[in-house]
Amino acid sequence: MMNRKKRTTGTTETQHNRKMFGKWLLLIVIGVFIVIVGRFSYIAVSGTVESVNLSSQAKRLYTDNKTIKAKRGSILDTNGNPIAEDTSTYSVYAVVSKKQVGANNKPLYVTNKKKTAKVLSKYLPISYHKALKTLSPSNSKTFQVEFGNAGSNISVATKEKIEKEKLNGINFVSSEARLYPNGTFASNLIGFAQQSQQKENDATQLSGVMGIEKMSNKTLTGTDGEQSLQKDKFGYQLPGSQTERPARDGSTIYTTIDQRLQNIMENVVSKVQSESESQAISATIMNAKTGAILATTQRPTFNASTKKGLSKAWNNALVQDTFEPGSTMKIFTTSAAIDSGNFDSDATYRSGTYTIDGKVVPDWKTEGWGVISYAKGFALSSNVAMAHLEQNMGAKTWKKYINRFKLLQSTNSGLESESKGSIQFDYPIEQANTAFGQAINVTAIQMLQGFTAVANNGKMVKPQFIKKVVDPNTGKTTYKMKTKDVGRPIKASTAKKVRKLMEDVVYKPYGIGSNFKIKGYKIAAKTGTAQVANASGGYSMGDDSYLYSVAGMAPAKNPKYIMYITMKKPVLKDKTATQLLDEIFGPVMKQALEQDKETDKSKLDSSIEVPNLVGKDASEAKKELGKKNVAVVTLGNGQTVKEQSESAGSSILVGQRIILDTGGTITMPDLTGWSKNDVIKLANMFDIDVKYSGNGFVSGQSVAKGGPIKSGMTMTVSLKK
Amino acid sequence: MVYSASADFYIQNGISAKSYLLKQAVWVMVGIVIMMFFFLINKKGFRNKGILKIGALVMYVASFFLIFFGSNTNGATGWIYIGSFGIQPAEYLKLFIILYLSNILSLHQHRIELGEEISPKVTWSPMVMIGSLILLNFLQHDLGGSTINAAIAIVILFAGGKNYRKSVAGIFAGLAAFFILLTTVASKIDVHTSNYMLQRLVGFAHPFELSKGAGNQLVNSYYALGNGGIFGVGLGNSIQKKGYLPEANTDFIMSVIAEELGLIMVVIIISILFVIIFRAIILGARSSKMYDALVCYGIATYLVVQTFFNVGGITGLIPITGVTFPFISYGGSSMMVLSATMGVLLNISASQRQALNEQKQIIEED
Repeated sequence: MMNRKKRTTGTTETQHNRKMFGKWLLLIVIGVFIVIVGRFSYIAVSGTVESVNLSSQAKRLYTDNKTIKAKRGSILDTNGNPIAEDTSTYSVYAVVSKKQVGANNKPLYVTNKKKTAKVLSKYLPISYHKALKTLSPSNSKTFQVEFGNAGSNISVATKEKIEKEKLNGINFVSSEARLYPNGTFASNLIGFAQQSQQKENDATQLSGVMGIEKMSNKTLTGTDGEQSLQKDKFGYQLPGSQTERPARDGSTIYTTIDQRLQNIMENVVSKVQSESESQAISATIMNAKTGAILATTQRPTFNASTKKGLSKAWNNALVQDTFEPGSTMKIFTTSAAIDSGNFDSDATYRSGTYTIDGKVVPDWKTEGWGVISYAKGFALSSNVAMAHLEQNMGAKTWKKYINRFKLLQSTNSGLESESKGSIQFDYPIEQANTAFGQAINVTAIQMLQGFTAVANNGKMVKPQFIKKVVDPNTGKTTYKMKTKDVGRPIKASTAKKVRKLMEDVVYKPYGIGSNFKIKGYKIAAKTGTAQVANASGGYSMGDDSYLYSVAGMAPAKNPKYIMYITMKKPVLKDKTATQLLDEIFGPVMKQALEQDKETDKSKLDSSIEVPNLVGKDASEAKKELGKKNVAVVTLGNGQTVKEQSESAGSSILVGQRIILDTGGTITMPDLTGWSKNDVIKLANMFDIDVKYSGNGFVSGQSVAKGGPIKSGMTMTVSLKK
Repeated sequence: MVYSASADFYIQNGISAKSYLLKQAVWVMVGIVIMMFFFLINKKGFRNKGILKIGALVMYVASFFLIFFGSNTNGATGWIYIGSFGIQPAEYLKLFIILYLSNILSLHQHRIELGEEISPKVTWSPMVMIGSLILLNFLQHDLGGSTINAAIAIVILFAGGKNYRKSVAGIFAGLAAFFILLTTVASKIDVHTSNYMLQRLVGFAHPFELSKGAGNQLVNSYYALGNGGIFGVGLGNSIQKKGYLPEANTDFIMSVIAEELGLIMVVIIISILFVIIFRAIILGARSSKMYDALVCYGIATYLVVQTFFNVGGITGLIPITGVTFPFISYGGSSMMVLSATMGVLLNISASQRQALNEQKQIIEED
């Protein structure tokens, strides 16, 4: 006990030291804790460190903003047939790394390679062995594999079918593409859109670079939606954190283009182009009453789906190219002379040559036709007659009429860089030259606009090519074309007289436009042959340096259609320029007039609203549609309709086909006589990859009638006029 | 808490979410057993020369083993694996230093008291031994651990002397030097350093610029504290633990607690810890036995420095050193050592009380 007592009593130096040290240690500990808690509180309460706002930074870390792509609006023809449409294509890839597993060890890699290869070879153009080989890379560390061309550009339908097989490790990436199903089809007017980088967010978006695609880019481009969700480090969504702003798709543009007329025009223009090796051709047919352009094309042009020929075809011939129109100008000269009371059709003049200030105005036949009437002079396309008319009315009056016809002014088509044209009008010889279309540069669209005054008994209407704009989000029509009256340059009586003179061109024995006759209709026309100025301002020599043209109206009494064709520097061999022009004019104008006749016949039900047929008995459905003059194609061996090619409520034209799928075994129908549009319907419905050759209607098919239809299969269809 | 912090991470990795909960529960049970053991045995047991010698030998072997064969966890080679069972010798080293130094110093108490010359052999051999063990610990890239060990050793040495003024002045000088060095050096290091320890310094100095690299852990810890605010986002609702914060269940558990349960819970936990430390120091100050006092101070230092390193790291006061938070973080070795220290404290407390009672008795008997 003593021992213990001795140790516990009395404060030694070290013990004192320990005690004091302990106090200080405690003090330090308290200090440390105050600092820790202080710092903790500062961060937790203020939410900032080094003036960085933590919550906004953290939010940025968690939030995954996903853009919901808005669809670019479609461009359709006047009847709703697609000219340009948006499509998503997919590429497939397979994850082969066994490390890729999800929650609960769910494998996210290819677990059954044989089955996967089998499925892929079924839907994609790849053989089973090749697919299996691709799925088994020699490098065991490979994370994922792709399937090259076979695995890209996959349609939505094929993608969904592959997904239905529920294969582990098979994934898709999508990309947006613009589809131009018709290839070369008013390509310079429609233009095209391509992927371009957006400045703000680096994302790519389809953006119009030419034609309507560019002009109406804003209308066509939708507003992307946004999906914002918070995710953890591994990309899994945190519950209840999703917000969404839906995408607004771009508007649908219905053009005034008529697919049937356009197809024919493209065909015949191509034919003439290859026959004549012309430097350039432009052709446009327009509704004279409304100014709606029904078909227009040019050479050179390009294929909108392959972009072939694009490098030589950036100009839109309709609005951008200016040229000396030549004798078609005489329509305006004569109109002006009649309207201003300076034209006496029976008055005569000496044809051949005429000298103004020592400069010679020659007729195309310089020996002339002797003393002839002005009416005959028009039909013979006499330059001398026009020079006289111009001098009779005076330069001032003539210029006034040029202005009233709105030549040398933009028509404000809205298309990119529309030209105004130019004129040399200082000297009497220049003024006289303009009377027969030299020394004046105009655009084709100006000429067309001017012609409407002659066709419409004095009322001039603006050429237009957009029929309506529909917002697909609401179904509402946001723009509807109205006929635009742009002036009355001439009186109705003048217009009628001019048309009569134009009839003479075609029907008088001396008239030089007899080629343009169309059986059953009266045609009013005026041809033109202009010398083509070369780069140095002079005129090219030789037979082929001319711009040949024709302006025609039909029916002549009360024209509904105006067609204007120019053909620059053709190489004339066994056909005359007029014959070549008629190879374009004839078929297109005839088709337009015949179409009218057809629709006249079935005026009441030219377009039919499609009823809902899904779930109905197939034969009943067929009967129901048959009454409405709709051709019905029933595929499959089921009893009831599973799917219809036209959605209920949409309208289709008489004579178009509706395809009904009744399920079961689907076999290929006989496609002979089908329009390309109908084939496209079929292809879309059953996911057939169709390659087209030629234009017009189906004359041959690579998969015979009765052959099996398999999703993703390919088929070639040849079209013929 | 360990459960909440680790659940998501392990779900992502396909491991049973409860695995850590179960493991930690086992460690807590083992810890309680160890605490009882250290509480109930005679103190003389862990002052036994032979046991301490064996302890020293084990420490050396383990340290050398780690340097040459240590498995690498986040840049530090602090783990010895026996099967899938990992041991962190550095944790045990802390306890060993406390017990060993306290014992050596108290054995020489009377000589210090009298200001006698102590033979170099007596002073140097323990110094060299402790110093070399800390150095070996440092060489395992365990900056946090070796600093804690050094701090423990220094505090025990100072506490064992006779001039507290010098000691306290020394500690303050050391702390000041530490901070000045830290703030000046850290901001001057090349941001693109590849050295592991230097990276931690630049990550500390420029967390937001380096938020994708060296500053990533600190920035994510900040986000957790910012998310949590005063009241927290609710138990189990931490976003940061879902992969953003590394080591959510160990080094950064306080960040997750701050996020889920808010500042309030953090203050409560730190307060409880403070009470333990406070009690340890008071116990040491009151003790008349040098050994007991030094052990108490050592344990207090151990806890306070470890807490400071952990919380200081996650709140950006000091660089992140990979030190766990006492009692809360997941970890077997740490839990066992902490339990042992608590057992020792209880043991000392009990003997003190016993001594007091005996004293009273003696006085009454007198």
